[in-house]
Amino acid sequence: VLSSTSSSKSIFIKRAVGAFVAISVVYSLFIVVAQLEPGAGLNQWQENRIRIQTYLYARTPYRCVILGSSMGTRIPASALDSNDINLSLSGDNALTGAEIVKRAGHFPRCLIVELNATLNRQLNTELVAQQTEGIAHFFRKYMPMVREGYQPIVLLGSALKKKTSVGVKPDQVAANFNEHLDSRKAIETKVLPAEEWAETLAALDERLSFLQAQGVRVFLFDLPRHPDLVYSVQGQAVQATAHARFKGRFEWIESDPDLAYQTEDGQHLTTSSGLKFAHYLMQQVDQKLGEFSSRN
Amino acid sequence: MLFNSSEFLVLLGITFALYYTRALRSFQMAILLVSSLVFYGFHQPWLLTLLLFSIFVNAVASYRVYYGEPSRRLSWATLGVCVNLGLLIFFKYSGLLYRTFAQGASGPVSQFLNSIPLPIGISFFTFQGISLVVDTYRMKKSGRELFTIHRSFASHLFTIAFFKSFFPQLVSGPIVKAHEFLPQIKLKSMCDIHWGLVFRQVVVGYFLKMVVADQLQDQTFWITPSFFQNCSSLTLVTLLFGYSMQIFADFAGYSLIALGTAGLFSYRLPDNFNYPYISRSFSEFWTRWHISLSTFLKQYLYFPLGGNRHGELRTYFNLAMVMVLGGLWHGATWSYAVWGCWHGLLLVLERAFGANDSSKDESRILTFLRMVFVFSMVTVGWLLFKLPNFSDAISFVKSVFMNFSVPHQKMLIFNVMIFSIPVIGYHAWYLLKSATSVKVPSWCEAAVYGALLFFILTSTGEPGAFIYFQF
Repeated sequence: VLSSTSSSKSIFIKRAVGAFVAISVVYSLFIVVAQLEPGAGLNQWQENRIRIQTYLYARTPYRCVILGSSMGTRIPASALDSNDINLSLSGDNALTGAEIVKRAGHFPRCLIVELNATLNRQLNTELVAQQTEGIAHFFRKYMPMVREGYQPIVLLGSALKKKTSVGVKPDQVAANFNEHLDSRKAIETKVLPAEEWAETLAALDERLSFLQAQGVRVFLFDLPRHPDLVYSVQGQAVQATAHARFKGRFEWIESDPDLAYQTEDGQHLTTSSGLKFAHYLMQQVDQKLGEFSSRN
Repeated sequence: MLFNSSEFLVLLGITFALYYTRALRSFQMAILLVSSLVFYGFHQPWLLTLLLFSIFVNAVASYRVYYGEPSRRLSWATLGVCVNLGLLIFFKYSGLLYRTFAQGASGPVSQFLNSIPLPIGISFFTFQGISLVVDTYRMKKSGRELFTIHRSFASHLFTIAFFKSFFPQLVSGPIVKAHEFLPQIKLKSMCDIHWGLVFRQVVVGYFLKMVVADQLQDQTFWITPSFFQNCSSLTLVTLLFGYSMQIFADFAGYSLIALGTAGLFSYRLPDNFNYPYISRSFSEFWTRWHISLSTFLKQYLYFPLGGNRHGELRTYFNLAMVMVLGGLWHGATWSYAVWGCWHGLLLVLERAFGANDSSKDESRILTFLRMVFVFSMVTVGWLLFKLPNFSDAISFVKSVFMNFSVPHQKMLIFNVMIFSIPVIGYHAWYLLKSATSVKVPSWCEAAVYGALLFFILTSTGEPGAFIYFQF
């Protein structure tokens, strides 16, 4: 009795593992045959990882890569050419994105780098290591189905977003807009010690210089924010410090003279303003690259 | 070391291989003991000193209770319990006492009290120590031998070190009582492994933790103060529902992995969860949720306090007291005590209204409504786990009642509901199986487990620490 019981248990495990292998093979084939694009993340951290993985495992190099923070994520992919990518990372800044580009081993034609008060954030070494090192990176490279953008639930969510208006974020100002703005103003009124910027700026400089040496053109820009923040102590300090460090070495994209941008919370552009700024930004980049722009 | 880390898988593989090597068979306990110490001290080796001290104290106390003079048994047992509680109070509650009574005070003592770190798993291994000392005392008093204690103190110390540090249950339980574990200690062979059960426990455990809890954790993040103020009432209720699902998936998942891992070494740990969200009463809930803790509190606190043997009022008091202390066991903030009070109050009211008997035959609708009510009240209580700061919890509740006009975050609601489906399905399937004689063909069950493995491979969230690690 004991041996027949253990034999049936062993058959059960074999069947389960067999089913697992069969489902995995079918799913892998489905991704390849249907030429599925990675879906959008279910939360901002997953979106970060999907952006990174999309960049790392691209079959052909991208033309332009936007690097930035959560503010930069408001530049929608729909406003970019298919060979451009937005690698802005919520909760991080351009430095972490630049490190990813450096480690990827394949370089774009140009980098469009957001500069603002988030530049006092350190390099996210944990995220970079998690995405570019180890056995998980190896598997992701050769097995698309284990990339986050191909998670069944992510693809389902993206399909739902496309078919309905569920995923379209309306132009919405935060219920506690003034509270957000005031708290941000309070933060940005403080003068940060120079060394807090210096370390990150030096690290960013090192990555950008390396990439420039590989033939990548580097453009710097700042996103529209609430006027109270643009002219805050920190806002001004970033401008001054970055200009002093990068002037003459990297190219600048002037701020849009049209100031009619709206933010949700003082910092992050609303959906329509994000789209509007994306058109402006990419027009400027196209002009600098000497390419004809059909954007409007 | 986390169960969902690669270093754990390496340690488990090496330990398993050595454990069942024929030539090393007589060293099985030693192999597991060394692995357990590596597991516990991997990131913070200094923690081992506390664990070893606790092992030594409990070994001495239990040995003295067993072999010492009968007149001194009670003193040794009391000493053992006091040292265990003393360790717990010192490491876990010094900060709380400081914040409550000496906030703002300066000086070396205040600074010291405020800086004491919380060693991981202390709440679990001190309770285990208490069970060892008390079980030994009760055993000697009743004359019923539930387990034996080696005549040689060195062997006894080694056995207790093995019992207390056994890594599958060391940091987050289940809280294994001495009388449940010590009788299982013997030489094991691979034939003793219940492979089918171990496979199911490990697969479901990792699925609940890595796919459900870790994915929900990134959705319920928005319950964080200030962010939740921008969410609609419906979104907030959904998020709280999602947190209820998450905490179950996280802890039940952990417990199943612990059971499965212990099963790989042919040890059986007690079940910790039994479909808690289908409970029809709060007393039933506490027989289904964190069972090892609730049975511990019942056996080592509620019964000694008198249980329900001294009239209604005293029973209410005992229930409330046990739940408040049980709440405080979870964490050193007053919000956990309030959470315990909440459950104590629910138990008392339920008993006062005679609604604590969930074995009565009722209509299906009434049964369902009772389940929904119990689940809702339990879920409201979880808010204090997520927002231990009272003002945040109150602000959250206010937002639920105020934010009717705020647009819903439809994608967030969709995500929470999608990742809650496995937990709902897990409970619903159990209900269906209990109510009908439905039988699933073996190949069909195997396909489901194959699918779970597929989701573990493709759909895990950002690896997060287990919620109960902080306790």
